[in-house]
Amino acid sequence: MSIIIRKTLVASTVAMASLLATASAAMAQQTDTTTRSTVSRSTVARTTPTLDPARLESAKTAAIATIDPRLTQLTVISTNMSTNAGDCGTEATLKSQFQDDSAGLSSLKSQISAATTASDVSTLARKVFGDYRVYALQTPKAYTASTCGLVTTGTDAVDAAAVALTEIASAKAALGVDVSAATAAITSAQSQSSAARSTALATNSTADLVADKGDKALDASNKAALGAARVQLADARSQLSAARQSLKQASAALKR
Amino acid sequence: MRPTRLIPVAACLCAIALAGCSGSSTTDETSDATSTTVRVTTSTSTVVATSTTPVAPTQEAVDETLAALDQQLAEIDKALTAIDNIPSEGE
Repeated sequence: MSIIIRKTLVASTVAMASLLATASAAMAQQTDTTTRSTVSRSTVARTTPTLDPARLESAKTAAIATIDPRLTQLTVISTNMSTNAGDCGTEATLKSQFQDDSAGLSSLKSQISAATTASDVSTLARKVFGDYRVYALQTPKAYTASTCGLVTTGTDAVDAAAVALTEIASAKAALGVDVSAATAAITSAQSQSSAARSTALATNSTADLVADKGDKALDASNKAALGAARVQLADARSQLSAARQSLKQASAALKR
Repeated sequence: MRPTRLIPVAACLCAIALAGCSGSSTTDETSDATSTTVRVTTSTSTVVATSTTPVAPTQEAVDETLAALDQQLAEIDKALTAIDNIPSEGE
């Protein structure tokens, strides 16, 4: 495990532990009060159990503070997908997922605000991390799709340039110029472009990954799929770069 | 680039437009970067024909594409770096 990943896990654990600790403290305080009140009720009828409102509000505030950045992040990644060039065919699906997540998180926020017990706040707070996975799942999915779009936009440009170079080569060949080297380079560019496109499109399956909701095996599976997609995108980038190099060779050959 | 096949097209239109009429006709020709339109009007009819100007591929256009691809590769590099640096935010 890399140092960065280890640091991330530590930070994650600390952040979640801190939030849950706040809710748990309020819950413990509530339990104490309830226990005391049960005893008191049997002995002193006029004693009413009360939860420290300040502690409950503190737990709510801490829980809601984890939701707002996620709502912002969902808007950012959705907007970025619209702004970035290219779409590998998953953009609409992902945007729909982000909208659903936003609606769910907004609803969760309302439920937390309306919660009357620290126990409820704690339960609802856990959903922020397990049910939605904005940073661990949705953001990498969006970035993967956007990068795929960049690759396919690049392959479109390669393909168009290859057609143009082929026409130039044909015109020169008609004049008796040897264009065999250029033609071979153009063919290579087209082949590398096709490979880059296929490699990038293979990452489309990440769009179907769903939040683990606490399922460790699914969490591991999602991470593996996203990691594999990252490798595929790097491969696609290399193939696109090779296609670009072939185009350059073809262009240079035709200038001679 | 003026399309060479436009002249016979225009001549043909004139013949069609003038056939069956003995009056005079007017010919209006407009061009832009991608096409030329000829409109022949007689006292009884108007015939319009548009010829698309062929755009021959140029070495300059290919060079522009190569430069754009350099930019595209740089964008992909940035995108890959972004994937590597997604914040965890407690997840």
